[in-house]
Amino acid sequence: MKDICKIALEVTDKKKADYADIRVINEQNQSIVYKNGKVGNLAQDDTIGYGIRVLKNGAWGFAASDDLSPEAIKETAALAVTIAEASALTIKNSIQLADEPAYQDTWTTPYIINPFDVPINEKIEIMEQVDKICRKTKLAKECKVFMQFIREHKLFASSHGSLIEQVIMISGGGFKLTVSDGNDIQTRSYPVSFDGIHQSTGYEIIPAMDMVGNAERVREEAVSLLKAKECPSGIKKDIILMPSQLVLQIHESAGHASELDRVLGYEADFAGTSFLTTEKLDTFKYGSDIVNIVADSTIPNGLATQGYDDEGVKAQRWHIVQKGIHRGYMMNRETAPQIGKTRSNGCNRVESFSDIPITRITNLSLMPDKGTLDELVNDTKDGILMDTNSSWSIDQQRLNFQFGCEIAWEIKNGKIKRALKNPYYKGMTPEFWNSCDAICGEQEFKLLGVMNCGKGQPMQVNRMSHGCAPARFRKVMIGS
Amino acid sequence: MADLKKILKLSPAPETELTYNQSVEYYTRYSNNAISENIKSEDKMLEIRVIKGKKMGIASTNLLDKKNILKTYDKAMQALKAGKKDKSIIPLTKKKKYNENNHYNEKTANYSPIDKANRLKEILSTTGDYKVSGLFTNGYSYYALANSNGVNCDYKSSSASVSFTVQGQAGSSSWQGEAANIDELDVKEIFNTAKKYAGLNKDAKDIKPGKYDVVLSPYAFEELIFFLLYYGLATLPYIEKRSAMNGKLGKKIASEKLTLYDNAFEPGAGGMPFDFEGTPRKKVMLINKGVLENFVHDRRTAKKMKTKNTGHSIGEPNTYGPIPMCPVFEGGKASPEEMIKSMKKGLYIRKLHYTNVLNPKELLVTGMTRDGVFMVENGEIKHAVKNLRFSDSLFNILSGIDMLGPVTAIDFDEGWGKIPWVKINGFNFTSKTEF
Repeated sequence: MKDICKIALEVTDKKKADYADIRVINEQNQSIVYKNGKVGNLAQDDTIGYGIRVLKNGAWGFAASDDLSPEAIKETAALAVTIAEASALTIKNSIQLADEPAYQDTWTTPYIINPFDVPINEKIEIMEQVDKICRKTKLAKECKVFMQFIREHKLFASSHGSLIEQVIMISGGGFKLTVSDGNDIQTRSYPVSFDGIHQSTGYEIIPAMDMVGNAERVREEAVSLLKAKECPSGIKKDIILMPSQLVLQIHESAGHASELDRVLGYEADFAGTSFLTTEKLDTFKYGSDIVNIVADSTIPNGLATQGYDDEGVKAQRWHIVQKGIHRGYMMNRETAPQIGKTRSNGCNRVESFSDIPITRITNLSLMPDKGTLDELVNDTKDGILMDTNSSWSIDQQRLNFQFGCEIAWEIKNGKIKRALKNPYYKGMTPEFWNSCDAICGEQEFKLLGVMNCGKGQPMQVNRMSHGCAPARFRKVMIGS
Repeated sequence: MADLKKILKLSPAPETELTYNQSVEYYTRYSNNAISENIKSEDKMLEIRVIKGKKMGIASTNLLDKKNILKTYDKAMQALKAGKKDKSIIPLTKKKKYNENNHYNEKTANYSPIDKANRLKEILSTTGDYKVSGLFTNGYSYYALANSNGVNCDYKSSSASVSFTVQGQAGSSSWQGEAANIDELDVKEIFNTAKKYAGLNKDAKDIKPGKYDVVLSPYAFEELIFFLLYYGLATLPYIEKRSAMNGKLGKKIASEKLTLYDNAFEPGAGGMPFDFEGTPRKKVMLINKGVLENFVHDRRTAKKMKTKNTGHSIGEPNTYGPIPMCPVFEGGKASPEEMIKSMKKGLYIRKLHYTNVLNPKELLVTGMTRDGVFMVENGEIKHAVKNLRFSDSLFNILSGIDMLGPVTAIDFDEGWGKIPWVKINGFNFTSKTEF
C-alpha cells in the first residue's frame, strides 16, 4: 500500500500539483440475509483500489483505479492532475485548504472477536432460530434476518507529509417480520428498522443484542398491530419519541442541515441546501434550552469513529446545538475557511476507494437530560409514544418533515394504554425542536445509527451513529 | 475485461456461475458557477457462485490475477462447505438465444473531463445574477455472465446526463436531460430551460394545502413511479401476500388513460437483452388501460404463479424477486402547454423531492415539491407558490390521470424507460414549507 502512495505522490509532485492526497483502501465485506427458512443472500466481497485527489491551479481533480500496476498508478495520478487543470478553466476563486498538521500514525477499532473468524454456519444458526420463532404464526409473510461485517484497511498519504494507516471494523445485525391477515400488512423490526444495529466493534455485538430472546415479543407485537386501532390523524398531540425513531429525526433535521457544503451551495442541484445559513451561527434558536446536539468522531463504537477523516484531519468533538443555540457545522478543509474557521472538524469521508471525499455527518447525538422513561410517561397526560422508524421525508432545506413509525402507544393520564398502528407525525424543524420539553437521562440513552446514508454524485453510501434517550415534544401534528 | 471462459476452467465445483461488472464513470459537478468536483472512477467486480449437492457458496473480488481468483474460489467453497443443504437451490440456467441490443456509444463512454469543462466554461461564465450548480456525467458499464451450463453473454451500455439548478435571489429552478448518446444532449437548451423557470420563480406566495389539479414533468412523475414499480409491481411481495396489489390482479387500479409495459427492446429506451441469469427478456404488459394485467417473472415466481418466465431475474440468490427494469408508459398527444391551458385552477410542478412510502399496504406516498411550483389560473401561469408537501395513495394519484403528453427517456439504472408529462386531477397536498 505504501508503494502505491509513493508512486502516485511522486507523479503529482513532478506535475507540479499544489496539493495531492491518496487513499488506498482494502475492504472486506460479509453480508448474510436469511429469509423465510433459508439463506436468501450471501455476499463475501474483497476489494482493493486507490483514489488520488489533486489540487492544481486552485481546482480539484480526482481519478481512481483498481489496477495496482506501477504504470496504472502513474497514469491515474497524471490523469488526476489533468482533470484538475480542466476544472480550473471554470473557477473564479482558488480553493484554499484549512491547515492541518501532518501525521504519521495508526489507528484501529477496538474489538474483542473478529467477525471474519466466526464460521458462517454459527451465524446462520442464530438466524435460523430467530426465523423459526418469528414464523410460528400463519400470519407471517416475510421474516428477514440480517448480519453484516465490514473490515476496512486504509492508508492515507498526502503531499503535506501525512501517512495514516487505519483499520475500521463494523459489525451488526437485526431482523424484521411482516405479517398479514389479508386485510392489513404490518411490520415490526428489532432492534431497529433497516437492517438492525451496527457499530464499530467486533462480533460481540451479535450475542449482546439477543435477537433470539426478542423474537417472540416482536412477533406478538407485529400480530397485535393487525387488529390495532389506527393512530389518530390531523390533530396536535404531545408525542414521546423512542431512540429508534428519534435518531433519524436527529440525522435528517440536524445532521444534514449542518453539513457546511450544503449550506454553501455545493449540493444545491442534488441533495439540496440548508436553512441553517451561516449568519445563524451562534445566534439561531434551533431548539429548546435542553437541546444539546453533539458531533463526536471519537466516541466508542461509533460508526463514524476513526482516528482521522479521509483527508487526514484528526477526529474531534463539538456542539452543533448547545442549550438550543446553533453552534457548529460539519466541515472539511475546503469549506471551513469559507466561514472564517482556521481548522476543519474532520467530516470529509469516502464510501470506497473510487470516491472523492465529501462532507458527511459524523456521529451525532442528542445529549441526555434527566429521568427515566417511566417518569416521562407518568408526566404525560394525553399523548402518543412512537417507536421504530418506518418512513422519512424532508424538504431540500431540511425544514418541513414527515416521519412514519412501525408502532405507537396511546398515553392517558400517565399510563401506557393500547397499541396504535400507522403512526405518522410532521412539522417544521425549528418549531419541532423548540417544542422539546423533556429528554430522559443517561440510563435511557442508546447509541444506534444509520448504515444507508446516501449523498453525492455518484451516490456515496456512508454510515454514522446517532445516540439519544426518549424525548417528549409538545403539540406535534400527527397523521398523514 | 475478464475472460470468464478461462476463469470457469479454474472452478473446483461441479456447477459454477460467474458474473462480472465493470464501470467507468466521469462525473463533473459544479456549484456556485465553478466546477467543484471532477472525477474519473473505475470499478470492477467478479462474483463467483459455486453449487454442489444442494449447497451453495459465493465470494467476490476485484483482483483478477490467477492467485486472487483461486483464493476467491476457495472462499466460496468454504462457504459452501459450512452451509446446510438447501432444497430450494435451483440449477444454473441453460444456454439460450437472445436478440442483440445496442446502447453503447464510444464517444459517450470516453468523453473527456476537459471537453466537458470547455463546454461548461461558456455557460458558467455568463450566469449573470444567478448561481448555477449541476452535474455533467458520462461513462459506460459492462456486464458479463457465464456458467458451467454454457451460458456466456455480455452487454455494454453508455450513458450521459446533464442537470442545472439555477438559483436567483428570489427563487430557483432546475432542469435535466439523459441520453445513451452524448450528442443527443442539448446542454445549452437544458441550461436555458432551468434559467427561464428560475426567472419565473420569484415572489412565491403561500397557498393553502388541499387538493389541486397538477401538471407534472416526466422527472416529477418518475419520483412517484419508482414506488409503483418497486413496491406495487414487485412480484414476490404479491406471491407472499404482502403487496398492495393482492386482490387487484385483473382489476382497475388506475385511470384507463394509463398503459404501462416493460420492454427491453423499446425503440429509444430499453436495456440488457437478457436478465441477470441469462434468460432472454420479454415484453410484458403490466397495466393496460388502467387494469393490472401481469407481473414480470423469473424462474422462481413463474413456477409459483404457474406462468412463463419473462426474463426479469435480478440474479440468484436474492430476497426481492423480479422487478420491471425498462418501464414504458404510453404517452399522449397533449403538449405540456396544452395541459396547462386546460386547467381552470391548478399547479404546474417541475420537480418532486425526497418521496417515500408511508404505508406500503395503501401505497401511501409523501414528498415535497422543489425548484419551482407555479399557480395556473384559467390556463395561464399566474405566479410562483411556496413548496408544498403531498401525501396520497398512489392508487388515487394514478386514478386521477386526466391527460398524457410526450414521453422522455429516463435511465432506471438497469435499463431505460419512457415517462410522460401528465395532468393529474385532485392531487392531495397536506402542508407547506417556508420557501
